[in-house]
Amino acid sequence: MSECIDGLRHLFSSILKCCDLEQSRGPVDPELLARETVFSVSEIEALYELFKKISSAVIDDGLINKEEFQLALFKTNKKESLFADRVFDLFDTKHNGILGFEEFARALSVFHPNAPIDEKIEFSFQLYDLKQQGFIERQEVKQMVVATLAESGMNLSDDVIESIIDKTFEEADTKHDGKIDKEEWRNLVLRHPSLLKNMTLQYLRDITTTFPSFVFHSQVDDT
Amino acid sequence: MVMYRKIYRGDFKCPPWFSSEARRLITKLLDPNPATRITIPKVMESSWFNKSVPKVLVTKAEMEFDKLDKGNEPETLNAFHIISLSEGFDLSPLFQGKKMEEKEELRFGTAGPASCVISRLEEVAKAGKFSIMKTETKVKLQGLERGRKGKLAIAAEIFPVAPSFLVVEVRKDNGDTLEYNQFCSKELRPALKDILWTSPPPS
Repeated sequence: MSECIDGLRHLFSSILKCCDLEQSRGPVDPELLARETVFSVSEIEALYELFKKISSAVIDDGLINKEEFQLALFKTNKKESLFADRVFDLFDTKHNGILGFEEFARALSVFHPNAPIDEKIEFSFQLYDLKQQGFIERQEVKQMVVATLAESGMNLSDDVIESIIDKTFEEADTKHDGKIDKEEWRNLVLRHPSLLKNMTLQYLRDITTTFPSFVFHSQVDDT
Repeated sequence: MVMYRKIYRGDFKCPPWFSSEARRLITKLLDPNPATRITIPKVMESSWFNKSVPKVLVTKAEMEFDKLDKGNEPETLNAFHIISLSEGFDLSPLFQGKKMEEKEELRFGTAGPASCVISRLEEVAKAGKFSIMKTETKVKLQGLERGRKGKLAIAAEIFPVAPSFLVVEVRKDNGDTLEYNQFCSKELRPALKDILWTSPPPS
């Protein structure tokens, strides 16, 4: 009896797989993603080509792990970076240590030149809120400034760094509570739009020309 | 999707106001088969192409070289500007195959003052036969001869971060990237080497 059920189960799953192959061009429905992000269907498909490239670098499982992400970003998996970790964590909305295509596409949508500025402000705030407490603390800012300067081999004296942060908080912390909350961050960014420079990737505008092979895509990968 | 199918099949229509010469040329350009597609040398020989070719192609950047805007106050960098310069927050390598050394922007810290950086750049300009335009915080260099893609132009901007610390950003403003990279490694970097920021000795 149980063998019968197993047999039926097997039969059903193969039929379902067949149907999936007809409908979607990838493990996720591109039309749904196109509706919920700033990308068009063609851009989603081109993005999927990029995703496949990145996700097969170390383990070919259709998912991006931390190592593959570092590899794609720094061209080496030996580089640890506080910032890359933050970015990865923010992409990883399911908090399972790996990025599926849906998480990848939704996060990158924020970086598109046409994405609403509010999304960029929100994302960058969360990026800098290292401890995820809902506000950016002085200590967090100091940590990030020191880490950034160290990347280029510049180590400023503590006094200089403190004076830079003093000046920054003087301008940003309008409520004078030693922390920068979302509203204060928003006001700061609207005064200094260049602060969001790294939240826009011009490459996303031309993604269909960078990865045109999706047009000839005939085989669907199994996940 | 329909657009891409059309491209694949070479299925297109020219607007009615196109001349017949233009139409013929375009049909040969949009040939989906790369073996039979018209080549660049043949395009340059075609009658349509030869009708009106500008003698010299001057780029917009070359034309605007003299208009260095002296107007705006330089934005003083705050802590978040510094943080946003971080490599880890720059996701563009995801889309590029290029290695880090080929980046077009060069950024470094220096103890300053700004006048020191500017005079150093002036020396480089004289040695490399560049004409130079400058304000207190911006310097533009333009080669006197045309390179592969026009005159090589470099723009440098100086950002005050703290009284004894400036960040200088140098980028290519016009011209061929390879020529720019060569200029950077052979002339620019050696000249700036001794004003580059070094960590203060431990006290």
